[in-house]
Amino acid sequence: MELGWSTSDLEFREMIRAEISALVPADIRTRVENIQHLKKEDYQRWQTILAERNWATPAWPPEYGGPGWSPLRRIFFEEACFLAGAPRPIPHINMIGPVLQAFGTEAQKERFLPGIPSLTEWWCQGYSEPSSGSDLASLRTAAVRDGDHYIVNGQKTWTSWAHWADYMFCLVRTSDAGRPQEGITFLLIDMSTPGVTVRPIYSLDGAHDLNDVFLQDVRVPVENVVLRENEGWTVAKYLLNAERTEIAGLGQTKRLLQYAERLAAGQRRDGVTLADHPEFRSRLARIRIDLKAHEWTVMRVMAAGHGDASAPSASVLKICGTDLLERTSDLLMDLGGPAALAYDPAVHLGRANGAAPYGHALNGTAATYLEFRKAGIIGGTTEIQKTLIYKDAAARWGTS
Amino acid sequence: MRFDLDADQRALTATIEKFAHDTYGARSSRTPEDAPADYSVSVWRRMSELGLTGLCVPEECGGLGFSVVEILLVSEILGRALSPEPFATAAIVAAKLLEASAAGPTRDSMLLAISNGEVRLAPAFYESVADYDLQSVDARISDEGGRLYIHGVKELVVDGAGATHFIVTARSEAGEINAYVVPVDVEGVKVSPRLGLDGRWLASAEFNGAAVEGDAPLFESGEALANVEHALDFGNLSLCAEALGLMDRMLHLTAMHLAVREQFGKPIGTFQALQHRFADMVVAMEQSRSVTWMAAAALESGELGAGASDLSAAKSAVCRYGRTVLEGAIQLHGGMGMTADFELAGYVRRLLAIEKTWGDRVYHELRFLEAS
Ligand SMILES: Cc1cc2nc3c(=O)[nH]c(=O)nc-3n(C[C@H](O)[C@H](O)[C@H](O)COP(=O)(O)OP(=O)(O)OC[C@H]3O[C@@H](n4cnc5c(N)ncnc54)[C@H](O)[C@@H]3O)c2cc1C
Repeated sequence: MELGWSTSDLEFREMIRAEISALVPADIRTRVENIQHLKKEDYQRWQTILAERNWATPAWPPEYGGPGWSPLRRIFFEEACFLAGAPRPIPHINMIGPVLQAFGTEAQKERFLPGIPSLTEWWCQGYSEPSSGSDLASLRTAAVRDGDHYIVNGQKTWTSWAHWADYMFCLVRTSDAGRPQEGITFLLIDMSTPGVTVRPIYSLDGAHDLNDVFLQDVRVPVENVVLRENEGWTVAKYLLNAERTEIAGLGQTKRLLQYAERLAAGQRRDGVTLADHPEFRSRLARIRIDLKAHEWTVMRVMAAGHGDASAPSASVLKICGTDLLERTSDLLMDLGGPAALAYDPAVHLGRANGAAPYGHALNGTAATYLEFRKAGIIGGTTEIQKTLIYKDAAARWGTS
Repeated sequence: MRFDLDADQRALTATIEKFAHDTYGARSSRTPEDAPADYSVSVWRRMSELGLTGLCVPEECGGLGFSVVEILLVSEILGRALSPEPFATAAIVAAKLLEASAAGPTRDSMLLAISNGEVRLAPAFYESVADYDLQSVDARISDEGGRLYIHGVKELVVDGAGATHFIVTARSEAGEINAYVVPVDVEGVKVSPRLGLDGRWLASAEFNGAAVEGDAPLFESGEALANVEHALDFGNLSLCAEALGLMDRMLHLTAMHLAVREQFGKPIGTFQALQHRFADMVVAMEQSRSVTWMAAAALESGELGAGASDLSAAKSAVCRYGRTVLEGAIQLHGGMGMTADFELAGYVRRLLAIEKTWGDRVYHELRFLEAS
């Protein structure tokens, strides 16, 4: 055990902060700091800037063009990005990328990996269905073999960014034999294929991120299967591991906290700034403290690598991250004060330009609270995660 | 003390429930910003025919002369139906404030017009958007040979965009705060609608030398602020009761979802984790009802200043318990709970708007401490 940071790590931290801070385009930074939603082009522009320096895919191994950073340096990088007001990393980079690297054919890697770092090809995740959320393995979207194609029929739902996506990585049913998990296949679907229909779902805050995706007689070439037919569950489980640092929500919590602190410093209430207000001072402190604990938990997990049963599980990361996101957005709702009674969704969501009635920062408080009610639902709900934690824990501590 | 309803109260309840059902029953859910829930003049008229706009107006001014129990009953039903009508503002705060105001032609004609549904008065008290300080008033009155004109800007005027009049706090030439009625259609009034969190329209109201109705303040010197606070206490009582209706509907939606939604081959309501979370929501709802009734009892005497501490206790607790209910409702619905098109969304956003109207949890906790 060696708990301190090395001089070279600290130098790296200085370096990356300075570099990133100089790279973020001013207009993007402004929108990020106002906690307004970004456009697809904003994400693409930023990833292209990073890709020119080989920093677009920090978690990818060097043989696939990653920078080869240690877990600690990846955290420093992420921290530098949020401090500088950069867009948050698009989760799909660390989902579909590592999956193709681990299970893809050479042809799939060649075809799909190059489009990921600068987001020239956008991906979406087609797992959930109307009847299959927490019980994912019950999914029913069917793929039936027809020569060198599959014919896919069914519906996916809650598909984030399907309306921006060029491709969807999708779980489909190819067999009803055996356990439900055993008949699932991981399939890559071109969103421009005839029979794919995307319909928007609007969220509580008015945003359009989610979609229904209807699949009617969609022809997908068999070479778009990842791993093998009926082995999709293996891929999905691997992917869950690959996204576990994503799921920790560290960067997002830091961004929300930064936003809360800026708001608290700038707003006065009852004769003091909110940062000095007895109600908000201790809540801010507690969130900062729990965030530090969480950061160390994330580092322990990153350092442990796959398959180390003594490290905290992905579910522990998810629960801690969810708790922090919920509490920080809850704090924002309260910091908004009376002004949060008004909400102009058009400017917050980037659908219209111009000023918000009482400034962008206040305009975003209630919307952010509403948006982050999602934290306990996405990527496996809080209830499901706690059950998983118990199962792990019972195996680890519950035997004599 | 009795908690069951008498025959008159049951009849009132049945009438309002029928009205709510006829008016809002078949309404499809909506995305607030796609179709803002502006209230309708024709529904307001219907409410006046039922006596609702004059619920608390004294009988000699054309109202029903009812008190806190009826406020509770009506507000809860309107909440359950997600009624967007300006009941708490125009029928409660405005009526209470005018009732308490100095006798005179403005008082009586306005109260009568409230009962008849001819006017909708919006209280315009706040100038800062950072706190709920009723005393930070920069709006001022100029006296030009006995004609009074008002100058200043009021923010976050609840139900302000569709109001016919504002009740505005302003400083007299001597610097003293008083309240004044200002019609929206006189020269020098500029109303800028602001979309509210709940999809209803608030307003910023700008007064550039607008003429004051009746050329007189509503209160004797030095009495306005206490009366404004007292009227807002009744408004907040109505909001707390409305919140009960919202919570009741959220519990209903959630219980139905737990019964019909299946995962892992059974209704999700069979999972104990969800039963327990739902139980937390039920407890929060029951506590909300208790504090709301407690506040009503404390306000019943109508004496100026009475009940402030219990009302603030209730409002702050309802804000807190309300979060327990709305957050639980979202979580137990899974992805569905996050969507704007599902009925729950309107309830969530209205409950949060109530929290932010006329003092939030933080404000009322501090006011409770000061008042008790
Ligand atoms: C903002 C957002 C973005 C999303 N993006 C995507 C995406 O890009 N791609 C994608 O495929 N999906 C996406 N999802 C879907 C998400 O993965 C599902 O919402 C989630 O898995 C829950 O499923 P459900 O909504 O069907 O809820 P349900 O599974 O129906 O759950 C309802 C409630 O029941 C509880 N519950 C269920 N089973 C149990 C149990 N056994 N024990 C105790 N409690 C239980 C849940 O915890 C929840 O509280 C997204 C969701 C959201 C909100």
